[in-house]
Amino acid sequence: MATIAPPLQAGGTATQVPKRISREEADGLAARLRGRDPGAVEDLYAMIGRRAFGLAYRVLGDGSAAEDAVQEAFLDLWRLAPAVDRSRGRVDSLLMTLVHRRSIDALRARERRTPITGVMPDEVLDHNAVELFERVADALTHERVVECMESLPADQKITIELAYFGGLTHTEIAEQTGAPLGTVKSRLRLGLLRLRADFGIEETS
Amino acid sequence: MTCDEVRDLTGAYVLGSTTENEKRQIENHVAGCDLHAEIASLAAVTLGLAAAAPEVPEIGPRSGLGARISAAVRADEAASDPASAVAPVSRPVWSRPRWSWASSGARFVPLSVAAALAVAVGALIIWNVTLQLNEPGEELVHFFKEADGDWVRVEATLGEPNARVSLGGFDPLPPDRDYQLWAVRDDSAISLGVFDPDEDGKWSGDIDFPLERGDLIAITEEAEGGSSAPTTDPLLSTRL
Repeated sequence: MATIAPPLQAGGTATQVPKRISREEADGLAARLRGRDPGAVEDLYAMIGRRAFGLAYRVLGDGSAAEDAVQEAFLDLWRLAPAVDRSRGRVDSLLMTLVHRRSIDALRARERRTPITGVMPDEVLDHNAVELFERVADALTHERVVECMESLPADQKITIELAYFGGLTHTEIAEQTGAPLGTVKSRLRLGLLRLRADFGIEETS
Repeated sequence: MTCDEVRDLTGAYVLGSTTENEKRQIENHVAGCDLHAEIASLAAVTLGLAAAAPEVPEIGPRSGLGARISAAVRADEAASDPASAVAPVSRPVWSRPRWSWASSGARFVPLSVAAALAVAVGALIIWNVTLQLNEPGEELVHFFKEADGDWVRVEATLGEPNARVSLGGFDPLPPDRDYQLWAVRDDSAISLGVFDPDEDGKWSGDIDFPLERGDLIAITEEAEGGSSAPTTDPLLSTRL
């Protein structure tokens, strides 16, 4: 049965919370990536490598596997580099998406489940979704996102966590929680709709 | 699918939790439906979920991860950019005696042969990177690419049995043949196992052998299941 690694608490170490990357820094890194400058990858790792590892570790619960996922994600980003522009969003957001996908696929492979993310599609991120996210991204700190998640009804929060951090399909979530499949679908949708409102994301046609 | 059926699945869809069949049906449906706006907005929510992971995890990556990523990226760049390579060098035909082994087991032949081998290896190198970190753990990342495109990448903590080996450029072999990976140290060849490259000619895996700086990594083609000692000339060899 799939499990989710326990959430790790920020703080408790001597390491300071890393500075968030500004839009100018992200644009500069994207330009250097398009110019095939490997140093841009190294600089990006120095800026958010630990945060990327944190996401992979949250999914995988294993340091070595998390490192592999992060490494593969950076390599994915490098291979995407010629097409890294504003339509794909900030480079740090793109990297975190790739880390998540690599981590979920590694998790499913470890548990002998079918891969579901397809790590490197041509369109890694939906352009409209990126645009909507970009408008609120600066406000979505770790603390804010955790606060929004904690405010969800418990069954919605758990269902979303099983999907996002556990990489489970709706059918697998139903099997694991014992909830009817229709209920699982509703919890995923209603939970995300509530997060959408809390994140301040608009629905535009 | 009807609009109501698709609406029920929008959350699962943006979280990647639908089946492939459902995913296809949803994508076909929303091409001509207003639900694409809801899907885009919920997909935007999932982009924010990454921030739910801690910015400072309880444990961090090992100190060598940045160097490994750097080496991997630079190796990928070298592999994809012919301009970064020197003029191709044709593979010399090595005579079998250079890779003959003492009858008592897997033993390299005399030092003069090892020297000749080293020269030949040197002539084949078109790009080669080794990073050694001056930190505890002696982590090593080594990349080597032959003129014909065969390449190997070794990531190891020296002296510890946990090396990761990645290979590429290897053509499929007939069913009765296997590629075999070797480590050669002190004139002795140790089999690290056989491998079957995927359809892209690549393979990667972990090896349970404590590599040391100076070890020669070599790949030969052997009978199915591998041999106790190399029986053919190396297709690739590189010294860590």
